[in-house]
Amino acid sequence: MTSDDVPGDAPGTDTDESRREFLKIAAAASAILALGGIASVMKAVIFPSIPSSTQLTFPRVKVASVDSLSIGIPVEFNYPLDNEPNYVIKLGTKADGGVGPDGDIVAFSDICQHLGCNWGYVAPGGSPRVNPSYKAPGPVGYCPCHGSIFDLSQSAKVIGGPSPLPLPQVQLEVDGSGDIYAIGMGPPSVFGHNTGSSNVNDDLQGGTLVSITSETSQT
Amino acid sequence: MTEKDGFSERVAGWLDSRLGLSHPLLRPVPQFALNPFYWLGALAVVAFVIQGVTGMIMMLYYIPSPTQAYSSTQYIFQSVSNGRFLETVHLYTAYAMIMLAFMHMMRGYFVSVQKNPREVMWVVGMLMGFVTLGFGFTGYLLPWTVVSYSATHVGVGMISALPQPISNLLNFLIVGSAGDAGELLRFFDLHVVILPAVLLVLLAVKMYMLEAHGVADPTSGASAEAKARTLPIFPDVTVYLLELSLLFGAGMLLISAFFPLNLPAEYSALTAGQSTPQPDWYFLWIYQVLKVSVFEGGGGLAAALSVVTLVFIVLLVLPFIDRGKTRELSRRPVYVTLGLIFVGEVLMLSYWGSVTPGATIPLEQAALVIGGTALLIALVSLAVYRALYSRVRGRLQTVPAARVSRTEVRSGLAFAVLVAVGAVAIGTLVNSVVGIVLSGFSTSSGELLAVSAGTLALDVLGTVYVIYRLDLRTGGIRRRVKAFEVGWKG
Amino acid sequence: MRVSLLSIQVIFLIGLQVTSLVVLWLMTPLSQSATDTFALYLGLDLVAFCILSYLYRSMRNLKQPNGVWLAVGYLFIIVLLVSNLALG
Repeated sequence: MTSDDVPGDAPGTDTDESRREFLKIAAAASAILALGGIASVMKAVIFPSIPSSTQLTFPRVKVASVDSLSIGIPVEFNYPLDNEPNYVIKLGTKADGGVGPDGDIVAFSDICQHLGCNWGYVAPGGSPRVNPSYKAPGPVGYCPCHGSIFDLSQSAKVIGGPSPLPLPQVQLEVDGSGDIYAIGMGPPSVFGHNTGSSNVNDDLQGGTLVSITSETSQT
Repeated sequence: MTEKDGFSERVAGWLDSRLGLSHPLLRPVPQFALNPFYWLGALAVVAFVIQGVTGMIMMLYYIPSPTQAYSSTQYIFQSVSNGRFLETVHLYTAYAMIMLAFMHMMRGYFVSVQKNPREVMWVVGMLMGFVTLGFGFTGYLLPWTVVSYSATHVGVGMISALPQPISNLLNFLIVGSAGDAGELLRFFDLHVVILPAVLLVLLAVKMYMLEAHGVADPTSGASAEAKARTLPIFPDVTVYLLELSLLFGAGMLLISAFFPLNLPAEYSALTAGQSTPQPDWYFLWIYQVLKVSVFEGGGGLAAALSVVTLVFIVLLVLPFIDRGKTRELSRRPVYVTLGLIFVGEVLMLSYWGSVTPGATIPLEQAALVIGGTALLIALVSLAVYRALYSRVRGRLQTVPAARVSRTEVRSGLAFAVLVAVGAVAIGTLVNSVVGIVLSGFSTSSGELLAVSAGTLALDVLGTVYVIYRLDLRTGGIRRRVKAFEVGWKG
Repeated sequence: MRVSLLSIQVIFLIGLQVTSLVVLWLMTPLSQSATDTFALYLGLDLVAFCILSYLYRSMRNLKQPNGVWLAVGYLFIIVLLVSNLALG
């Protein structure tokens, strides 16, 4: 194919120059539009597919049974998302929000409200391994990262350390056969879910809800 | 040309003086190299980059442990934004990368790039090809599905049939001694860190040599003038590569949209026992060789592996086998035929492997099919050589007699495409009209009608244009059209 | 100002790109068919840029753009548009 076809203008004339400018601008605009298209891929991949307007509810999950719990031995379970740990503990003394025949079975999120570390249980009179000089006045949760202390018999009220908020308490329910179910979370929201919010529905976002057939594990 | 102080010139000048774009590391590329066949290797690298990007996103979610590999892959499929699409793109681009590497190798072989001075480039390129196959092999295991586990273990089992120092080394690298968990972790590390690093080093070496030697001339040779007509890397060649890459990307998007992936079942000993392991398609030709009956029994596997290894070694040292000086296709009937036989055999064995899973191939049948394919290809190839190039003194000589002109080939192809597109457009148009008549007008049927009508219109215009261009040689139509223009003096 | 074949192509291609961009940024691909639509519109955006870039490069090197490549590009665009209808 030879280039003798279109009877166009000779190169160097004004019309040809304006054509070049036009095409140059068009090519630049096209490049920017193409980049914009590629950038939208980031949006598609990063932002969650599940629209936040979907109504989610707290699942009802069995976490332990009254008979399987011993005083002062925490049992770990995931709730409400399948990667967020909580502890259910039989304290031995009546506690706020406690269930069971003695009203002493409570459960709290294992994620500290300060900076998200996992706290550990300290029995009354005992000491956490990281701080042997501290003597717990009652059943407490002691966070090894920065020393936040939560009183587990008073809905995890902060009694020491830098945590600004108490731990979210897991709402429990015991059925007729002695099985303990987690049925919800009390405020504040779990760390990382709009931390500090009093809207417990924030706990349901950002992950996969634990399914009803999930198992529990001993610590 | 004229206004050097225009806004865009000033911006470009600023960027250039800061980034050094007009002083690129790589030499300018000759005009004749702006042909997609010269860029198959570059496209394989582009595919590798796409693999890297999609892989890195998936790596945020994937867990390389036997108990969690499948569930984390499933998580990507089900719960990650467009995770399934990511996986689909990753798999098809992997296939594309292997396919492009193969095409790049065969194209290089047929135009004899591996001759002096590019022998080492060929060797390095073959090593990159092995690494690419390694990517396929290691990546295949990661989802921990029934197919992937079974197929990988057939492959891993072959390692023990290799001679001793190699066998131990490979075992250490790939399998380790920590059971399934250790093996999966090694496969993951190989796939994500070790093989990419090796590939990048080999790529750097190859690019360095490319810089030293430049792009290989076309086989018919290039005049000094043709070689001097070069284009700078920035912006011309960069933009050209960008165009090819984006077209390739768009192609991958199209294929991924049409064939979304479904995750097979998770591996368990029970399900594995009920399915025949098959390697992924790019290993099927090797696997088919291994299935021939003569390789059954004790030393059979080692013998089969030796045959396959021999093929790879021959490919690796090809530049040192084919010592002829000439590069022209017309002067290398034997090597071109051998190359065609290789391609034909690989394709045939791959297809045959896919339709005979788990079957042992009797030796006679294998000999017949493999030998027959080779014979057929040889006969056709040499016959074509005879037809195209005249024979002098009983030997195939070089004088190209009845060469088909490029214009004619191009117009023929153009017509073929136009007819095909036209047929599809007419069919779709008729279908959409019938659909509208029968089931009423809707947005989608309206769109279909518009698109097919538009396509048909463009197709008709295209056909008229091709005829016009063809007729330019005699000038008949042009003269008649021009006669209507005011002021045309003839 | 004479409307040339070139300006028609440019306007068509830029228009295609702008449409694709609007669709890509406004939609949230939640289902498989939505993801397919997203991918195909992204493909349209990229191919339109490729054709325009090719026209620009040809002009830069003072050559006529090869009709065959333009045809391939436009055919690709048609395939993408049709696929959108078939899948989306």
